[in-house]
Amino acid sequence: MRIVYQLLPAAVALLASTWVCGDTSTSFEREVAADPKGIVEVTSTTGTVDITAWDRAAVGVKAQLGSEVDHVEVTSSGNHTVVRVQLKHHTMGFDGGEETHLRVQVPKESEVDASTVSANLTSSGVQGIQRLKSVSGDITAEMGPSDFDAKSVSGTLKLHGHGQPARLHVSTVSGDIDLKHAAGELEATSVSGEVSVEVNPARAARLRSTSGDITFDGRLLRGADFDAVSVNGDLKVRAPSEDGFQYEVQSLSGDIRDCFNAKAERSSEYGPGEKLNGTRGAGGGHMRLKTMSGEIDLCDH
Amino acid sequence: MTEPTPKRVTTLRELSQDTEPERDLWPQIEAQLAPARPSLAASNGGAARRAVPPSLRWLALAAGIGCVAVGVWIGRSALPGGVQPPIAAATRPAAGTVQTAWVTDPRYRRDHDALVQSLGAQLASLPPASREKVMKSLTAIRTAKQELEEALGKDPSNALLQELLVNTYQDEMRVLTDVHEAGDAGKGI
Repeated sequence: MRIVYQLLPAAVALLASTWVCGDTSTSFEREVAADPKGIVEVTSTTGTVDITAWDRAAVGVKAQLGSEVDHVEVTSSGNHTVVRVQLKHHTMGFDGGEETHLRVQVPKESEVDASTVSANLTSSGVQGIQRLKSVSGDITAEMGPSDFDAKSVSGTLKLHGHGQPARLHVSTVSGDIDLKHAAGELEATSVSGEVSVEVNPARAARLRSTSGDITFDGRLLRGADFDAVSVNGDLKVRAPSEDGFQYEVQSLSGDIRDCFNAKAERSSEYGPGEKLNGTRGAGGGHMRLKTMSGEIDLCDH
Repeated sequence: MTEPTPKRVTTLRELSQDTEPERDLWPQIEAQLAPARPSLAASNGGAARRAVPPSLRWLALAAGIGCVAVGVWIGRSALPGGVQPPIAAATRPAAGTVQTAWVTDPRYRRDHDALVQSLGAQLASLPPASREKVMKSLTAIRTAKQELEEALGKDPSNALLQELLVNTYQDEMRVLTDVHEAGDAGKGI
């Protein structure tokens, strides 16, 4: 028993040293002065990137760097600030090493241009233009009153706004798009991802998919232009409108349903397909819904 | 007493079907035809052919060849299933389908083929989970293109199908470009 007590401190010391040696991550912290309305460019590969806005004319960077990282470049020149996580030469970013967690604080009126490969990207509080891009990382962002552009190959886009009108462009190849409390003009495109958007109010919306389903929920402004097209996906649209709309709905082999008791008719006497054309209210806006084999569900209340 | 009114004929069926002529008319007809036969035979090979000027015969021959040439051209290039220039197997349309006219545009084909050629390398640079998702998306596009082209083969003038097919070709180019950029992004950082 006495031997156990004598060896205990040594065992604890050994365990502690093992833990310290196993944690190969390094802390990094820097702050540079920046134009309050300048451009902040953020680039990282793996792990996470978290961008938040603050009320200071500076860009702050805090990071926990993984073993694959060579260094972090933080430069500011004129109105352009660059934060770049540079990997070691032999690393391509997908080697499964320690993950890097990058936190960047930017002036809230900044224009943010962020790009990742597999890193998940989040952005909140930014009021300026945002251009967010990933390959496989998910993008979660808060949309402000400025133009917003988010693009991912296979990552999911989870976006929410505060009803401030802006021009929004979102696209994925296979990732889902989930957009809430947006307003203004929206263009959303996906190949096989599900597109679910809530735009209130909407001045224009152009939604497109190849096989993913599209769901729209929102109020259309006077004279709004709405266009949703899918090859094999279903289209579900609930769009009350200020002054109604003229609608043109077509499906080659899917069913067409509506909540105002209009009846779809055959597109042609000899070929397949159904169409539903007509006017709701004063017919100020335009609504076009088209699919080859998907089902269409249209409601305006 | 009045004579009975003749029955009024309103359809051909009401006419008698078996009314015979009063005498056999054929011997007289045959006698009139006999002297005319030799001259008719002579005119078929001689006078009638000589009446067509040689220039018109050449014109007729040229028109015939022209018709055949147009027929072959339509068969090869305009109708479904015609001979198409070779493109990457991954995006080749199925037999019995139609292609959008601009798909044969040289600039489009050059860019498209270059992106398809580099696709394998670009996909290899993606994380496995991402690569699998992108492959599924490309399959979705390929299936959509095939279905649309087959449907257009049956109904070439369908505006809905034409619009969807153009959209799908555009989406395919967007995906190829995005994957290309994604592969470069992994290398560039």
